[in-house]
Amino acid sequence: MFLRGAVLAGSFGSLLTLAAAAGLSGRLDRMHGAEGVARYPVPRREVIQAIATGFDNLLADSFWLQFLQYNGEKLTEDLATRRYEHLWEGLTLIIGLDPHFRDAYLFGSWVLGDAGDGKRAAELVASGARRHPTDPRYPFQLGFIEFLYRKDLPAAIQAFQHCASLAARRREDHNLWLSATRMAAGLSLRRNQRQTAIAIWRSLYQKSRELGDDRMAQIAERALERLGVNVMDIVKG
Amino acid sequence: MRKIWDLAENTFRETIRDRVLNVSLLFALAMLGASVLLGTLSIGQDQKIVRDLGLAAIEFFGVAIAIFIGTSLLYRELDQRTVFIVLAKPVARHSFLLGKFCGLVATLTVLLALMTLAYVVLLLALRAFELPLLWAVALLWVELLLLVGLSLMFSTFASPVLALVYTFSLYLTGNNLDGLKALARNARPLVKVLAEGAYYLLPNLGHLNIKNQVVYGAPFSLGQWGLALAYGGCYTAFVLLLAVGIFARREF
Repeated sequence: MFLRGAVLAGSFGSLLTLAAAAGLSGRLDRMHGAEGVARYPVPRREVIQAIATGFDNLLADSFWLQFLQYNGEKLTEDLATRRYEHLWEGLTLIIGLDPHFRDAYLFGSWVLGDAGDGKRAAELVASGARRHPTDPRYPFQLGFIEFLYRKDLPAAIQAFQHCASLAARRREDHNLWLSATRMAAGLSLRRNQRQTAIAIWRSLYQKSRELGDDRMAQIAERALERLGVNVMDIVKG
Repeated sequence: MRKIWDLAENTFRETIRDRVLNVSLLFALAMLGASVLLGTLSIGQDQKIVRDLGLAAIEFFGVAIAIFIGTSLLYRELDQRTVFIVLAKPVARHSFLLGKFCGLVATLTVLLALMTLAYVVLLLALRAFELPLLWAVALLWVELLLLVGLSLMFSTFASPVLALVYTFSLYLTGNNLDGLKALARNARPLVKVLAEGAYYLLPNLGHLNIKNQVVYGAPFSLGQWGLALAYGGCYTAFVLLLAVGIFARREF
């Protein structure tokens, strides 16, 4: 009888302490939130590489998820108050650990561009292109970055042409070849750059929505806002 | 040979019942499951993350079990004095040690096979399976053999805690030998010779670790893979010979 009572009291006590710990954890979270404590610390790349012990890819994945979690939240914040943190440091840490991490180059360059750092966005994709010289997705992305963020029309045309020449070699890259060829030809006509930019962002917005890629859609939405286009008009068709 | 087989069978039965093993297996399977959850948080890289995390979980738990059980295996026999009963019979010391090695290797093989099976089923369900991933698992198996050999070798003359520290230190060093090679490149002649000597003499576990490459297909040749297997085999044989030599001279 005494034993059963002790077991019951013990079980109740453990549940109570667990609930208390969970409550305190929530309170601490709220305190962190209220004080605006940054939760995206980026350690030094050299240190992480030295202690990776063969788990480089795993660490790169972990830093990528952290990058997405932190900067993904930033994408939903208001344009005027939004402050990205350690973008370049975070991305170079990830690709330093895993030089083949495709989305760190491609999506990372969108975020860098959105943060107003078109130069580094182009630098990031160009480094991906150097490491993957036969992959047409890198020059394709570079073309967008050069045109949309750096307003460098000749560099954008050159990147799309390069992409088309790489994509032409593989049957599975046919759609990419078609898109890159169209982009290069369209930009070569030197029509109104603003209208061309709106058309590209609109297409990216619609494609992202179709694919359920909310983060990319938010980047496109911001870019359209900057160009004076209301996204609701696109949604309404 | 028969004696080694009997001892190995006995060690296998003994270690497979170890609770640490069951708990580790459960954790490894849970981590494999969790990798799917983490993968969904990424953008378009979910398959890569599941592959990475799965291979890392298999290696982490495999290495932990190899080192923890490997360093305590011999100590248990000495502590419970069962080693004297066995060695009083016509069983040579090297047979005893090799039997222990083979038994633990059998246990690790079963464990690795179970984890790999779960990993492959998971990847097949996600349509993310590629054959080169199994090449990495095969090399990991060789790495575990080497670590079991090192654990046993250290436990022939050191306490379990020290054997664990030595083996784990060599595991860390063996995975970071590139730094030593870089040091040798720019060092003074004497340091260069020492650093290069250490680079080639210490177990280079980097040769057996291809998990970072296989997730992107296989940017290495079958010949390279075969050489890595041979390297691991040679080094394990060397460590076992050393362990047998030390154990033969040990006074109880």
